[in-house]
Amino acid sequence: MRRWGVFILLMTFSDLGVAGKCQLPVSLNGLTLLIRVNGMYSPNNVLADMVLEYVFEKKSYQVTILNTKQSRSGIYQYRQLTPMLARFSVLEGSKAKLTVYSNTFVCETDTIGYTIFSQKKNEGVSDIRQNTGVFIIQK
Amino acid sequence: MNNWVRLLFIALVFFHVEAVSKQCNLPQNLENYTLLFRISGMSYKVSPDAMVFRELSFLKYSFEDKSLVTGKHFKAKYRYQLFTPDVAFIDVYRDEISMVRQYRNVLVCQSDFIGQLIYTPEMNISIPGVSKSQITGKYILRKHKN
Repeated sequence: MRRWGVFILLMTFSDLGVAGKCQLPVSLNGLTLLIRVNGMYSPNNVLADMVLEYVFEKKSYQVTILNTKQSRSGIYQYRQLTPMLARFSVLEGSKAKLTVYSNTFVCETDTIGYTIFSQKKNEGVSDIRQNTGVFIIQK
Repeated sequence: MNNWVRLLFIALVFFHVEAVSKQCNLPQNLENYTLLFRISGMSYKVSPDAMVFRELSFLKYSFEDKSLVTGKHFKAKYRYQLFTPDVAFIDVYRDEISMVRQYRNVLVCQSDFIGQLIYTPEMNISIPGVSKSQITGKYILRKHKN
């Protein structure tokens, strides 16, 4: 019983000592982020194998599909959940053609890691889907 | 003043979007849940578990990890933390004395039962049959029938 108590206590504070081998940025302002989308092309993964370049300002960003040179812009919120886990939520387009999605980042080093893309709406229509990708942060 | 109005507007829009877009929820804890997951990609040296289904059966503080292909299994301790309704992680520990984390699975739900995960092993810790580098996968979450 005492061992369980010690275990629970250690687990509660374990992130302070064990985690933190990589660190995601506190803010995306002024950074460029490259995302390569994983998987095979399908209607649920139209950007498969493409590379997206996000250029961030304080509240807004521009994303360019480097394969096609198409660009879009939007506003975002970024939240660091732990040093190695963060999420940015995005509103792209406007009013009836609003696209809503988020990317959840888990770093492997300070500059690379994996991301989970979760889309809620695409151009105003409910379109729930997820994909994964690899990201690179350029400072 | 204009900047304040603009910031308030952006905050309200995000609040609204967050509210209407919370279409999935991860559980508050994993007790009596089973997590079935499959690592994506091709099987290769750093990811021998690719395409293999694994089943994690959770109790309050411990769980059993079983490969559904080889039948190999082990028991370990875990910590589950929910950050937002749709984002959580599971830390898996070798034992309660050393407190060395073996790996972390970050879960992002798509519905209440399925979603994607990012598997991140601790460096310098080798577990037979388990990936040695960060990788993604899909999961299915089910509640045990007691």
